[in-house]
Amino acid sequence: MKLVNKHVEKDGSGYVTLRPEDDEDMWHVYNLIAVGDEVRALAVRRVQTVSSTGSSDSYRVRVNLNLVVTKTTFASAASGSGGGGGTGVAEKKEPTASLQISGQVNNENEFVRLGAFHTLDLEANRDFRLIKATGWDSVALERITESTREGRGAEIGAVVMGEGTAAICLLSEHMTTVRQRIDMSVPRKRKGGTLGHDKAMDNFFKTVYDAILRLIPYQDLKAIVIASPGFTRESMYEYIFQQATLQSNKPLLASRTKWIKVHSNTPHVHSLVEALRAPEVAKTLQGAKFAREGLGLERFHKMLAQDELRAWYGPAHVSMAVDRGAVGTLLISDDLFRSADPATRTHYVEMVEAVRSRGGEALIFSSMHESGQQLNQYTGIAAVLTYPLDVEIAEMEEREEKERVEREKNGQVGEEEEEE
Amino acid sequence: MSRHRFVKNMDLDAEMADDDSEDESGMTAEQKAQMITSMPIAKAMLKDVKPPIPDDAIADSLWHYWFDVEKAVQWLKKDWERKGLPTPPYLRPSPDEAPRPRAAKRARLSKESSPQPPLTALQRLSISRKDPATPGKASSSSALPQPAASTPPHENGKPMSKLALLAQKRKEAAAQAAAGASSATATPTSTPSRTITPSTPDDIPSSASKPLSKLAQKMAAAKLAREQSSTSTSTPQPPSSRPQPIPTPAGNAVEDEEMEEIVYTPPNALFPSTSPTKPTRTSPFFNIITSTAATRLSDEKPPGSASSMHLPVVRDLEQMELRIRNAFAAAESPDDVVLRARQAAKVNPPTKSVSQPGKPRTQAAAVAGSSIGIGKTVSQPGTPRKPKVATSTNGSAGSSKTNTPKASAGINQTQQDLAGLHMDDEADEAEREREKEKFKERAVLSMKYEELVAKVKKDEAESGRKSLSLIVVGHVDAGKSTLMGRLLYELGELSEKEKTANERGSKKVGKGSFAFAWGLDALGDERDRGVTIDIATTHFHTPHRAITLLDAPGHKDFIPAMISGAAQADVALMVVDGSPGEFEAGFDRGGQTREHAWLVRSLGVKEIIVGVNKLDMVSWSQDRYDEITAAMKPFLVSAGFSSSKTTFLPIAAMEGVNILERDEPLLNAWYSGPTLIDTLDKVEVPERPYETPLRIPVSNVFKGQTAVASGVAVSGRLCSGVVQVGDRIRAVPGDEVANVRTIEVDEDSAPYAVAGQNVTLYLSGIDPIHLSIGTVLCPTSLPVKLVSQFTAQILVFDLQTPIIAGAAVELFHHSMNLPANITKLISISEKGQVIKKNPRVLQKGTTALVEITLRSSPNSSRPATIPLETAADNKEMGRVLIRRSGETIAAGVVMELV
Repeated sequence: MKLVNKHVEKDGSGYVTLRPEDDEDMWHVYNLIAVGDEVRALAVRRVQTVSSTGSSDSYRVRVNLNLVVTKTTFASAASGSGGGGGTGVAEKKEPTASLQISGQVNNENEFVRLGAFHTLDLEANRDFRLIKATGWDSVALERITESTREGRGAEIGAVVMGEGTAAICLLSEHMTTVRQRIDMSVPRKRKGGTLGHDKAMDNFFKTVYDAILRLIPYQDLKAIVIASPGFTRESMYEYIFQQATLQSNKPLLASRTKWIKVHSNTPHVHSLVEALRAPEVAKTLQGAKFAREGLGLERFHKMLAQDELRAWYGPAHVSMAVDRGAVGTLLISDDLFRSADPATRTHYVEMVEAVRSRGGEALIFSSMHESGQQLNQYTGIAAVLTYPLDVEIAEMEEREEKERVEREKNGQVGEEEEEE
Repeated sequence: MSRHRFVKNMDLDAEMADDDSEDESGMTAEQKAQMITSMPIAKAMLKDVKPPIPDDAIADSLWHYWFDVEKAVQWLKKDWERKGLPTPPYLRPSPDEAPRPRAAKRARLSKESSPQPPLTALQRLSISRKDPATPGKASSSSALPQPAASTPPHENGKPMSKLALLAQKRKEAAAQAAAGASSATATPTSTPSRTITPSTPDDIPSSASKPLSKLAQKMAAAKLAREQSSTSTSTPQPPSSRPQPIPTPAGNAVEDEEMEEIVYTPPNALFPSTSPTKPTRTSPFFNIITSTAATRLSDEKPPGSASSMHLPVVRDLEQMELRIRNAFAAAESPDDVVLRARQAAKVNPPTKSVSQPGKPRTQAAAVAGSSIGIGKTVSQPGTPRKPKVATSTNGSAGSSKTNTPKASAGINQTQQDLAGLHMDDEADEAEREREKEKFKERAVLSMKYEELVAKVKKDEAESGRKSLSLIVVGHVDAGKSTLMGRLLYELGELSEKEKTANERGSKKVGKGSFAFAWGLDALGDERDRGVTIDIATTHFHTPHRAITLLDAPGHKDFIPAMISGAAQADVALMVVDGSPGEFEAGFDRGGQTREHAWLVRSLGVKEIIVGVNKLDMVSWSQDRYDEITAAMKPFLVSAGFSSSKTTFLPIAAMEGVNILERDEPLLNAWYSGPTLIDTLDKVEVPERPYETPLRIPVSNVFKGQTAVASGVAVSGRLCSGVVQVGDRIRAVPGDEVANVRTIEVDEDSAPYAVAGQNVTLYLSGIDPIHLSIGTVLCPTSLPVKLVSQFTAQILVFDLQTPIIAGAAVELFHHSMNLPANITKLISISEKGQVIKKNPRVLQKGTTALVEITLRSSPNSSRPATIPLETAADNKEMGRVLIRRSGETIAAGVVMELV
């Protein structure tokens, strides 16, 4: 994403002009734009005019519209809604994710009346200007910095597989897209011949190999991970390069060093998290965001096992811990920042800021990653505390505090009454 | 009724094979006594006969005449005089005859409960007689106009005793007639007279002894029920009332066979004695004739239609009828005439017990014998086997013993006529195919489930061999596959040839010690790497158990496969490595020994045998053995195995010590317990849920490649219920229904399978894409529910990370393995009491009620589903396992489906 123009005052008012370039940028924009924000972008508007004689005329105009956002919809490429078959292999660079923004027009022009509704498709390589209704907070600004950083992140490919199942994924800093799932039935071994099994496995490997060639731009990727339980990954790896040699696929053979075989416990996509935690992968990724996220989640799990009192989750509880300054690492899903209610969002932003101000670490998980999805399952927010705190005691204290405050209030009222 | 019971218990085949011996042994004490008393008298009477009549012949005829010495002697004498040579087979009161009535009785008793297909037509007849209510088409040929009907129905109310008397008289007359007509070429005058005339008893045996083709039997049985019911309902028929065409396309397939049959058919076959439901049975012979004649006359059918095939036959039949009638007229006695008249009129024929003294035994046989004829004739229209007829006719006719030259002439003519027909008409072909299909369907014995279950239980009790599934578990490289390979080899299940091949092969790749394991590790990967990857299923027998062996992989990556196997098992054999350091490696944290024990226990295995393997490595040290058992015992108790159900054995798989036998002096010095096979032979077999609806979680889907068993095949274990060949079963998930074509139990095809058995089903009518590992097969009427969310009572195992709400886990259910989330922690309980609601985390060792939701792939609109039942409904279908990042974190039972 390109930052075209940025004008943000200290109080958070102001605007930013951005130019999204790929799928991931679309994801960032989707996370930036909240309901109530003001977006100015080029739109195509169908205008209908009725002449004095009653004949009507309709034509399209390209106008810059100012919208007050009421709804945003994001569809990642894998969902298939992107382009309806218009995306060939050649246009790999074109983003396939789509982002639609609906809202009411808030500056009138000769074609569109004030308050008219419009839905615009945000397009790649087209500038748009965004004014945040609640002002630019640290999280939003951080996202802009992150998304506009040059040469950001690692892109890797991953094949998570088992006998008969495979998921071919592409991972970027903020997104995991499952490009294809392959599910084939492989007969299991039985007495009197393993012919069926061998045949089916060969067929399966071939299918996966073809899918890899089609979907994984192995020349551009930093690494390609093959993860599986058992020996499937070995067999797959061998198959790929045997085929590459047979077909003298030079680029593929040249990419051999990028292929990493990793153990995973299951053939399901969710074991991608553990696959990416593996040291051989982590080394290649070197602090890529999704690797950090995975590690953060693992830390939380470990703490949960080690000391239940130091691993908290759930918005209310974590918020309590933040108030007490106990949070060492805050894990928070970007889902929470997309909240339609500005107050809620502000609350989470404050939490992040509070943790950071105390020297803690705040990881904002992308819910497009497997780790983020797992965090979402734990209510989307979790924290590893610096010291053990019993939730129940904290809750009790909180209650007492509330009561005390109320009593004080009442007391004051009572005193006042007495004075009178 | 002791005889009946006796008959019921007899083995049909054996009985048929040596009927002679049966004659004697088949008697009750009473009868024996009778025999003993009447035998000397008969002998005395016959002593002047030269050459002397053998005792058994006398006994036979005595039996035949129901110990009526005089008659028997008379018959014998005549017979002897006439021959001077052995009685021609058709005249001899053949050995077949005695057992036949019994067979009939037996069949009647056992009804259709026997799954053995080779029921004789006779049996089938009696079966159908038993059940007069069998629905059938009223249009059966028996209702056809027939000459017999011309005899006015009268004397309905005649007392039966008279009839019996008549029958007896008729017998005598018949005997005389037989004697008279005793020339070698003599027609046994089976002459199916137009009235249901009795004929000589002599021809009965011949008809009875004539071997029936299986086809004929089946046809007969199939048709008979229909026939019978219609006859019974349509008792005295005005001949013209039903101008019936034969309902189904006539098969002249059996035509000539039938002709023979007809010729032999003694008219008195129709003598209704045994069956009370048997009404005026019109001679089938005439039915055929008339019906076919009618068809011919009307000739409405297009040429090539099946019924028109009768045309040529009819001509012959008519001729034959004439001839027969003429021939028979001579042999007819006045008694016969009366009898015939009476029979024709009879609405309610006398019930004559077969064992009624004084009544010749043959009568029952005659009825039975004739009924074969009836069955055949009547079933003719439905005959599926037409195609062969034309070709086979000549041969069979030539070879068949035709006693009547006339009849044979008729047959020959028939043959010619048949040959002249265009049997291979295209349309006919299709029709035949359809008929074949029908026939197939009918051939399937579909027993009622209760009967089947009862039978299975009985069989089990009789054979004393119960079927059982055994899973072999243990840490990787403990020697599971090797032990099992050795066991199979010693039992002879693994041939010497295979063994040497494996030895050579394994040596070649430098893994000589895997020779025995190769017997089970058949996959290329498994052999290359020396690790079992998937469950290997095989089977063997011990004296009291038929054991299905499931050899599980020990490596932790292949636990899903192991779970799929353990879910099919009743008992576990845990192999632990006794060599130094290895037991500890497998037993302490990270080893599979513990996890496997938990897994098999939570999948319903209650009994465990622990084999301490590789003790030869520590020179059979008792200390080592004791040390291991001491470590294992408390653990197994904590895992939920009661100590009475835990057995420890010292073994050495490679050497084969203490498997089948034990001749290791070092071991014998301190060990005197059972060997492995002894232990397996005594394992308790759990009660099987036969009564619950059928559930087969599929553990494998493949294509059968052998000639007998081709097509879509699934294997798995019946969790509950029973399945039979021909059943329609539903595959869940999905909306597909399949037919069970063949059932294979332990690699032998079986007509049915019951809960607890590991089976392979060959299915038809379903595309394999609708079947996958994890599919559950169930009855069409009672399918399994598909759920995506349910609550389960779980027991949390040793785990690294406690469970919190939202935890991403893998759910295992039989061979299924799905990603899921524990979405809600509802409560923690202890000893059945809820001690905490809405817990924040679940630590190890807790029992908790949780809600589990399957994860759907983010882009699919449909939620993922799993076929599941609550544990209350079906124990085996309600067990789940929960795993996360390579460790089993909990086991549970399904409480409620959401």
